[in-house]
Amino acid sequence: MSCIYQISHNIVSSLGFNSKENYNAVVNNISGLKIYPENSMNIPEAFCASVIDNTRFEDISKQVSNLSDYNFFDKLCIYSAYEALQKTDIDPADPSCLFILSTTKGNIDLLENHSLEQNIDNSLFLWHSANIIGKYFNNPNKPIVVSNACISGVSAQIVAKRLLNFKKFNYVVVIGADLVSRFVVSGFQSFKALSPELCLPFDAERKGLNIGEAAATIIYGIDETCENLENDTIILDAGTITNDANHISGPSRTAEGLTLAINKCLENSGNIKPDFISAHGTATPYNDDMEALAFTRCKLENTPAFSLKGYFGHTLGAAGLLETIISSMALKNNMVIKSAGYSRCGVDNPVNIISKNQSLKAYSFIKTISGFGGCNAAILIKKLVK
Amino acid sequence: MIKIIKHSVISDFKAFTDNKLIYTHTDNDRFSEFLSSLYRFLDISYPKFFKMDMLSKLGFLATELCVAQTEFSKTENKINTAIYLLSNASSLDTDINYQKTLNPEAYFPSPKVFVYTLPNIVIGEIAIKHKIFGENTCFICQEFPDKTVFDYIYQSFLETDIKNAIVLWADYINGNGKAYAFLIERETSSNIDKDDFNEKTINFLIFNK
Repeated sequence: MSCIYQISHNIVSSLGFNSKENYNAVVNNISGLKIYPENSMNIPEAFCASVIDNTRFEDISKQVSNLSDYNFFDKLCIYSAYEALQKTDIDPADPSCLFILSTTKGNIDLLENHSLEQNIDNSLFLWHSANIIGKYFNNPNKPIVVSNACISGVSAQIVAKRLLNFKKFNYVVVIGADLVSRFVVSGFQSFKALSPELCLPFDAERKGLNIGEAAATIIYGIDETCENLENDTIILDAGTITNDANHISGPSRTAEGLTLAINKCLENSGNIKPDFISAHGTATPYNDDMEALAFTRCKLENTPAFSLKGYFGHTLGAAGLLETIISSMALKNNMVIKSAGYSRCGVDNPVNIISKNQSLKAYSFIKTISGFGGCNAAILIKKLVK
Repeated sequence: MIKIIKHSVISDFKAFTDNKLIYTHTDNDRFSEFLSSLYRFLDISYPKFFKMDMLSKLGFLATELCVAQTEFSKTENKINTAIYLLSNASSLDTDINYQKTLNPEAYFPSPKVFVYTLPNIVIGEIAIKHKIFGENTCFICQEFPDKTVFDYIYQSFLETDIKNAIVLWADYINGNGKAYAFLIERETSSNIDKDDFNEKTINFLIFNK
């Protein structure tokens, strides 16, 4: 059996510019969410979001050569991949290295000042962003773009795993990113899905989600026998994607799709019992109820669970990657993270949401995620124990 | 290992199944009119069709053409069926329509438009219609076929229990669209006369090259 393992990672968010800064903020219970009053970003209603500090990012990204002329989204992706690659000896220009971009909207902020009648600028095409990123690193392969709504970041890791198993590539650089734009905030507001206050996943008082901006990168490699890997190496063991076949924008009332995804994922990893759950937990009333029902149906109601949305907001195309990174770091440190914003259970099926950081001898966790279009996904991440 | 059971093409105001012309539109004026008349021609009773955006209508109809009168369409709940969507322009056409509702002088964002600003909604519509619960992934590629995405599909059949899949290219921008749909199946001895699912066969079937 070969092992698909994490080589390096990066997170750029309101909480920092590398994984460690972000992880430290989370364990110190610091949230990147801020309230934006009425008419911020030219949006009539108030909202709460986690936004990258542009001035600090511009300053930090100066360390990376020739980045100044890129659009903000492309620049974020390049910076994130660059920082992750820098810690490795991987040559991104080698044909054995593949880039995958996970995003829902890419450079969508550019539509604000774009003619809505004339020909569309190339920068708005998602494959174009991926090409630009690949080109920056002189990578000879045509990159892959996964745009699978909110589950994109987990979908993209499953794509990476299978393409490594296909044995054409030795390394896959998976980058996930999305911006906080007027486009996205107004859209979720029109759905009445946003809370104007800090989001409260699984809590009785939860009102909706907060949007977050981030770029996150995981570099995966393959080891044929797993024997060359160190103890405690983080392994992507299994992954499953399903569809509810029920509604294009509402979660399933029976949680059928997510239940199927979790059960299949655990079955494929040899019926491991995960030590904790890194939930989607968007803090919308329907999502959290659906997710809690799925955990209960999968007999995981007592497994410690948390959502990271109270720290980063919902970072859309980056979420699956960012949350996998933070949770993998927690796994390495034998710890379960406090689910920010949780004080009183507000889901129909009570689950074990963690309200305080806890030490826990942990070997594996399951990451769950669901999105518009009825899609659900689950991946099982484990530590290599020899 | 993977065989093509049936395929369909929607292009230049014409619709084909297994390279046979099924429908053509005399008034080559508006693509939306063409899709509505193709829908009526196929005699599908599915009112949700009229709520869909152009990309979803296009992907939906290409899939209908591709699965009509197959064993596949007779199966109730399809747990081990996958949907793979590929597109160049993604939801950009609807993105622009949505952006138009954000004009500060006439600000009226609509959730009905916004939901279609995600390309994988096409997958959701098809999954609902055909009760498909399996794996589903949307890829944004410059061209069809894309070698690496095809490698991914092959590997997915190899390492999971997928029985069959709909592979769909759907692309709509600037008032014109194109779609190719393939119903593919894990090979069993009974259908060895069918075509292999790979780039070479696809290029031959669709582009005759």
